[in-house]
Amino acid sequence: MRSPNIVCPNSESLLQKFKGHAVALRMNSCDHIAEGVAHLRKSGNTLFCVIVESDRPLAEIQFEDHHRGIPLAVMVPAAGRFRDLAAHLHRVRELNLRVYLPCDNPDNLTSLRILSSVGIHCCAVFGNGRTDWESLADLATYAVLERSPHAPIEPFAFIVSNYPASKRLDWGRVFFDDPGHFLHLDEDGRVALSQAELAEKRFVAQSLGEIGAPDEFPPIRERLRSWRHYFTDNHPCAFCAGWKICLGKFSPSLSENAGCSGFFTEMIDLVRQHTALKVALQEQRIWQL
Amino acid sequence: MANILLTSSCNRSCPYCFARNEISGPSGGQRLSWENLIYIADFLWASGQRKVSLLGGEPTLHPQCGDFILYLIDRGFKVTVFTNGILSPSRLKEFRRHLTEMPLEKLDLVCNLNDPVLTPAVPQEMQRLNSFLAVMGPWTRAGFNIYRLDFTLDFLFDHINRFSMKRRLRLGIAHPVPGSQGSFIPTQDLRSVVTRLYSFRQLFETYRISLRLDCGFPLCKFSDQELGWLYRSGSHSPFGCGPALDIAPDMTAYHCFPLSNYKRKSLFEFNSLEEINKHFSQLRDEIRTEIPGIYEECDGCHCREGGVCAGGGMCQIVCRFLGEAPIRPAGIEDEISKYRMSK
Amino acid sequence: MATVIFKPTEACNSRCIYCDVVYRKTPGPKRMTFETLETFFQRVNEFLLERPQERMRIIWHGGEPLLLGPHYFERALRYQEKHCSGTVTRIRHSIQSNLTLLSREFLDPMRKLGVVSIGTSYDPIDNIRGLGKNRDSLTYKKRFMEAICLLEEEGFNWGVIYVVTKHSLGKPLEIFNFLTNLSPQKELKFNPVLVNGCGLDHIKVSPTEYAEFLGAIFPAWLRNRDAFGPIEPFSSLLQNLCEDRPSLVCLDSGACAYSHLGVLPDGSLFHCGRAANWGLLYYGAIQEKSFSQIFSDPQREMLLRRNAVLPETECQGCRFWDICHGGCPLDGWSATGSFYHKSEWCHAKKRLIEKYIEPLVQKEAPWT
Repeated sequence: MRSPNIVCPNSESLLQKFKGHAVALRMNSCDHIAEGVAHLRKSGNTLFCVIVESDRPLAEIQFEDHHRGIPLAVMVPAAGRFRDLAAHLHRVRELNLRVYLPCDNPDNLTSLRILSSVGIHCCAVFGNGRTDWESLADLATYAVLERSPHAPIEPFAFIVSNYPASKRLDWGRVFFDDPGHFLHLDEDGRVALSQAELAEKRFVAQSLGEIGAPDEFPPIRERLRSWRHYFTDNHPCAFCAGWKICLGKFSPSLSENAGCSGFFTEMIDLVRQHTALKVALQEQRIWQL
Repeated sequence: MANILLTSSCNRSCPYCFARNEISGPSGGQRLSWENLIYIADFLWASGQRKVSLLGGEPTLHPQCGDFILYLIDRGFKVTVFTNGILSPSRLKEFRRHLTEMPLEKLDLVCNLNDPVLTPAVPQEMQRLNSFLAVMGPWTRAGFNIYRLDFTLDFLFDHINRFSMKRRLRLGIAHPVPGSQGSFIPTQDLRSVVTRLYSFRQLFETYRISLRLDCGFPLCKFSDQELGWLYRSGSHSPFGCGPALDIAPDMTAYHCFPLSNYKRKSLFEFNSLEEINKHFSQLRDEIRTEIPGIYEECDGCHCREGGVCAGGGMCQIVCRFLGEAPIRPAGIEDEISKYRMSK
Repeated sequence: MATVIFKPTEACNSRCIYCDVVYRKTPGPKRMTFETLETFFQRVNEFLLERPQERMRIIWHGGEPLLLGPHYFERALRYQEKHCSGTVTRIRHSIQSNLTLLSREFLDPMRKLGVVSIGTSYDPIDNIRGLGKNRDSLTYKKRFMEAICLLEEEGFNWGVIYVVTKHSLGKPLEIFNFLTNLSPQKELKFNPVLVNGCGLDHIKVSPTEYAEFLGAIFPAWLRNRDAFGPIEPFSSLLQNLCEDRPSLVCLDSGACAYSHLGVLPDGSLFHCGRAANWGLLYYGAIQEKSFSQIFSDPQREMLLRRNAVLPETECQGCRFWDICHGGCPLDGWSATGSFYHKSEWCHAKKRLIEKYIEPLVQKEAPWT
């Protein structure tokens, strides 16, 4: 396993504690992007992306010229009204940007479709127990099968590009949630395997230095192999057709996430249709100018 | 060009309204959703269409009217909005904030104006209309529907000058809506309308206003002199008849407003605009095979046969069917029977 | 290609509920001696020298071959290098194992023997497969998972045989999902449980039940077949029916008389693995007879004659003869005591094709 990418807060002192990693810097506003990237470059690490976790809608975020070229993962609670966003669209499209929207309300599902249709790469965040799986399936259908040019909607685009897979496919990395590719650090450099575990202070190491080769570090190794318990325990998820894509991501909250099975089974069918369409058309998507 | 109905709600009650079937029918009160708008935009774009019109009812009543306009423009469409101009203060504020920087070639408004004397409006409506034109005048053309023989056009020129509107007038003839009781111009009176229209030519020339005639005027009711004046005023080939292609909020499509109940079909059943045009052209041909035009002399008319004139509006022919015994082919009779029942 | 079901041991650490070797056979020598092992490779080389165009597939079987330990495989490798240097390019090894004893030490000799893929079996239903007298399914599964992770890390392929028993019948799609989830894009094969004699009615399935089990799965497979690895019997049936490219395993080919051989730990030679389990078609001992002599044994004529008898009798007019040939002769014998009867599983195949495959695929078999 290659050196994992690090997700960490925008802290100059923290960045000095390790070298040679690709880093996703977390911050809660765009105001510190330039400064954060500068600190990172001085630290001997490279930039994976900047994660901006804002509590304001996308339409209210001010992007600047110097944000161009910096990969940005912008996590917002909503897109905002289109009339407010329209004035900034030309600038947003110039950026290397992906917008993350939670799918816990129907407006955001609509917003994802709107953003994609006007050329903004975006990501549906779902599975917190409030997902409307049917509407999400409609969005996935649009993302995967719509032939008019539109920007990708993750994680559907990732799934379609990588499935069927000869190995278990974990699209969690789209959300920086894949211990095979991302480790999460807090301000003090303590290491967790996901953002959620970091928030719950479930650390696996006190520093990166403790980890060594990631695939030999027992907690990481165990996590990467944790899919096995679905089969040894005959978990209901192991018998679901959708497991091939979801890998049991929603099993901890199955009662709240009922509908996940139907959604992921339909996702498999969408992938099949997409592949058949691609083969039939043998066309390349041309971005709409 | 495709016409997209944002909503079938309206805040005015025009005596000639040919959208009344839509407003009072099963899709009355409905609003177009974002998802369906995106679908329509994708559909039209894939069909090579780059112009859309937004209609209603009154499209500005849709809560996302402004968003939809901006969205379609961002997608690369030229947008025309047909409105009565009676906007709420908040909607006008929204238009002022977001649309007044829009290049003229991207956004076009057509404001359907009623004669303040013959079709008076309440003071609040007039006030709102004037406020709207004060803000959006430069983007707006005046529109007028002739539904009575004693019509006047003076107030239109007045509005155009006062509010710096575009110097183009869209003029339509109020059509009969099969099965409905609205005001319209009977076919036998069309010559009178043309004569009266021609009498206003001096005003057009004085104020340098060009004229666009909407569908349904028959060529034979114009003298050569009148046709020459029409041509000079910028109205070329106005004697056709559809399909206009209207898409309702429930995603059904139909030939035009007056025929909104005639062989209406879901947009999802078509793969392209070409298919839709083909579908409605077929039904048009079906009707015109039965009766070529609105007058007896349309049958055998070389202008109609040459494609210069359509022979009047289909809605006028269908209305004629309604008044006759059921002698048409089953396909036509089945559709017409819907209008008879509604009567 | 000659196929040798090579059983260097019949001992097993698992107690699979349907296993003939564990439950039904009279216990014999548990392990092939090195002397016999060396003789085996001498015979392999001898055979391949006599037939310059021939190739040989050696399927390590059992019992559980990994019980022999990694050193046994290293020894086998040494004997092959010693005796088969001129014919080694025509030898292919594969292994059938429950994987519960796999460790890293096995992988190097396996690799050197040219093993790239390991066949295994699995059942999610508890108490069908399990370790030791108590049939410990949980430990079995845990070790199995460790093993497949190791195989995947080390670049080995693996495929699963699933044995359909009475316990499987109520949940065909769930089992299909489970197995394809467990082994994405790997080879998967469904076999009915094959019992010789009575006493296993509690797990036995009828041909109709087996066909219905497969029929419940077939539409799900057909719809997404490009996403799966080869799944039998669907892949080969579809190939046989629709693509006119015959792809027949031993029990369908009618040609096993020419190709198969089973070797037991004491060097006894039988027709194949199952024949050895059931004590049928014994050909002699490896210490006394060459493979060429075995392949010319007069008993094989019975199997050849079967191909002439059946089309005139039970299989007359059957439109699936070319892809079935009356099924496995041993199944015919199991039901009637004679090889000149068709297998009862022919009915399963016919039912599966006529009721499920043809209506969905909508193409007539070329032989109608």
